[in-house]
Amino acid sequence: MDNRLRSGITAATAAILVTGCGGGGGASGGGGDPGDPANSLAPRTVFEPQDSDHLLMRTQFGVSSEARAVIDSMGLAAFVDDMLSPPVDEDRPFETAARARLQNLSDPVGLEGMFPSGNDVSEWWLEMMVNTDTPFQERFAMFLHDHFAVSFDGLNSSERHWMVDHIQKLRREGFGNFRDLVLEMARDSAMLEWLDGHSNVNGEPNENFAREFFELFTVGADRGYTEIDVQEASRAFTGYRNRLDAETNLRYSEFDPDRKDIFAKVLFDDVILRSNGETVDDFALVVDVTFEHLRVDEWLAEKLLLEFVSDAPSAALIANFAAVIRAEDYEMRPILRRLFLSEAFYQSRKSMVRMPVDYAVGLIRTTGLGMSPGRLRGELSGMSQVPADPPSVFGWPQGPEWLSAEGLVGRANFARQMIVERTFQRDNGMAIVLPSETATAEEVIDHFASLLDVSLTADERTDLIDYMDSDARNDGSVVEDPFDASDDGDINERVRGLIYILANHVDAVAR
Amino acid sequence: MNEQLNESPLTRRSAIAAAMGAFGLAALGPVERAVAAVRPRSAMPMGENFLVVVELNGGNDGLNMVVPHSLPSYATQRPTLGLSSSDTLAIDTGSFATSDFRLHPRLPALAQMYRDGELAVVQKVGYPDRNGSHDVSRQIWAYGQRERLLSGNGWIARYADLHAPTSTGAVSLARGRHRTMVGGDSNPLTMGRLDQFKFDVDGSFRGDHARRLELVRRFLDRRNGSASRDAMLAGHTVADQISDAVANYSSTVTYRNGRLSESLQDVARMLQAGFPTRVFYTGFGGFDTHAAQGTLVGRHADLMQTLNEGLDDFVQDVKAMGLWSQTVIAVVSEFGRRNFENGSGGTDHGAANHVLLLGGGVRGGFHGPMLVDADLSENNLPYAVDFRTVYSDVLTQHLGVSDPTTIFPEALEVQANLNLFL
Repeated sequence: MDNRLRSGITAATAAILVTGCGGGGGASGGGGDPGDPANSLAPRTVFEPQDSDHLLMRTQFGVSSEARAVIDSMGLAAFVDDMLSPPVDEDRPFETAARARLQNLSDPVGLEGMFPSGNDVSEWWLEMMVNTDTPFQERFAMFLHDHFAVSFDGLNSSERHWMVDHIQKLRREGFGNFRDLVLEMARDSAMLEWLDGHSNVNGEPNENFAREFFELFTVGADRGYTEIDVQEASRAFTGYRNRLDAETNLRYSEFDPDRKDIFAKVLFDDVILRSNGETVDDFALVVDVTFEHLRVDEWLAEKLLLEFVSDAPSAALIANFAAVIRAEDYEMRPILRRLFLSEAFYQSRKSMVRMPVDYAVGLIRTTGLGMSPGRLRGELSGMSQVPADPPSVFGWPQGPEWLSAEGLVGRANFARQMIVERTFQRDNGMAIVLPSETATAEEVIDHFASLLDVSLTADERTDLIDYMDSDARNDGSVVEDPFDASDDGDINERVRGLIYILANHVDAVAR
Repeated sequence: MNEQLNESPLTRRSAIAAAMGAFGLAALGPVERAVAAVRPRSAMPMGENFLVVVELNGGNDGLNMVVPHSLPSYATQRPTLGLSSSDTLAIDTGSFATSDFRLHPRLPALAQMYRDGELAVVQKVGYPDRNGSHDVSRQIWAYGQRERLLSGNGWIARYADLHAPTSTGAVSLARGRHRTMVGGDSNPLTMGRLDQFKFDVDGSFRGDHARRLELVRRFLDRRNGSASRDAMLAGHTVADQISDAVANYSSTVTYRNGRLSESLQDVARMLQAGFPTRVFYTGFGGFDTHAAQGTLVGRHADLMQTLNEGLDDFVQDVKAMGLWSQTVIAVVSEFGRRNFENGSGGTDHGAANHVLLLGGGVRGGFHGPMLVDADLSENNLPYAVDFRTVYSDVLTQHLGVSDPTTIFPEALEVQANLNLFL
């Protein structure tokens, strides 16, 4: 281990790492600090009902009665296994339906869906997020999208199909090996265009991709690599060009031996990278030596923990999780399984901020209310998070950074839009469905507060009962009028109003 | 309102510091900052300098805005689009009188400001290695760094993080989530029109919706302070303040109907209400005049009129509020246009361009290396002043930033000694 440590790692971190590795590296090994459960990757032994809700909030765009029932019947561990293995079939009904959003009337025959607008791409994915029956596939792809942040901004109409391919790779290959995914992303056409890989040419290297490869995709800024490594890696990332297919009018990436730098490069002071020659690229060589020589495990651990466990993960937890990642050799399924069954994960309940996509898609999925994907994209734009259009290669803000005045007003206005779309329901035009046992104001309030994971104080609950059992007129007067679950008027005004109030509760932006 | 406010010993920034007690804003998290932004407002004296950036999106034809009619190549490069001396407005009186240049005929207010010494023209502003893509050039101007396009923070976000870290320290109006504002953790406020920054209502049940919002607010008020709760409450407070600013605003100036007049009136509303905003970003588009750009009338003339009226209305209003000495307005565009006209009665993408600066403390006249005939005989105006030099001078000499390299860290290829301020 020590011979792999590089100068970018501080002595303190190294010390923690050594401790962290002490527990062993095997898949079933310890690797945790038994003294503090919040830092422990050890499996949680007993699951409480609120643990199911916690898992759903962090991984499934929120709670639903159906998912709760599934966990109750199959057990939480089996549920985690299932959510990490979504069907590979590309023609599930929600996928087929969403794909229609990529098509336009002007598409040439045989190339339908190959000339989407940027908005089409965002709406295609949003529709899948809202309607999928394997939500963690989309939720985890959103994490990867934030990590390998590429935007359709900057791609023209003959290139935007690359963005669809890019997102599909995240959706389909995200649960595979992370090392393979990094290589896949390096060769991805949208990435090659976005970070100037198509203009990275032998003799005139463009360092844009190489710099982000280290800083954002694999190890983090200044963690064991130097400017020289950026320059040498950029030489090794040469060879691709952006070509136009004159028949289809679609652009594609082509490997061009003339653009490749075939001379040896030296990375990390003394690692000599000999080129594979003129017929293939050398990208895998850079990826492999980076994973071998730098602490990709720590960076991936930190990124995953920031996404799913804590807005400020401790050094000990990062070190423990990095040990798991090494031991599993970057295979995402066992790594995530370990995380989502760990003591640390369940110790972190309600401590994080929901990002806008999670908040909005979650409210729609949880309540059964909805709006068109186009409207949803517009509302998300007001909250500054549109899928397929991150603001920069750094991805979106993290955790508490989402707590801006305009962003939270944007959330309120999204919730308002959701309740005023009285004809649009996620399940096609049905009225709000209340469980059969809910009839009184109290029961309706408790039902939705529980689904939205809002803990009401006694005062708040009393105020909400008062709200549900009276009618506020447009002239400002309030008259007593007990809630009637069989009255469509009460459902449309008060249950929707209740959902708005709960969506604007401080607990509703937390997860 | 006015002059006496300028003399107040309490600057806008020190008022915030006073309200925050012993704690520096920099030590606070983003949520506390969001709350800090709204807290001291009732006692907010005017007094700090501010910058308004007006972006002319699309690439403004600076040569038909500030017309070098005395240089022979101007007419040869632009046989049909070139403006003649008799059609343009003279700026040959006042402290910075010149007969080498004249202004577009639709810019009478700007011509008067020039003659009054309040308008500076910084010539040949651009950046190394001209890029003809709207998108890339806008990125260069927005990020202020060549090295990491799309990956860095916008320069105004960097400024806000260091010097105005409140939710209204920097504000973008009518430009969407502009790249200058992206990144960092101070979350500059982004709005369309000011009167649209509000909690939308449920039109079918107005009375009920008012009650819903009242309950939302009551629950937040009752909860203990936390990052989320404080930020949500700040959203309500800022929305209330903006709604007050819109409702209470009054002015002797009647703004005209142009796009820029509307946006700059929103800036005036925020200034009058005492928001601690140091940088406003706004502007309008339509400057990509590849075809039929017109001369005395037509597309470019209409754009010049919108610019002239917007600046005229706003400057009058700011003067009436007594804030002119604290004001700098910078008029920028992602690039200029070709020196020569194309075959469609328009001009294609160029390189360097004029930047206009207006303000009570601005030294009027022409700045930077003088435009000469050789510049016009090339295809594009060569750049001689890096735009970051202009912004850096505004930052140091107007906004009180001691080290502009914290915001524009890259070494510049050309150094220009401008003397932009009195």
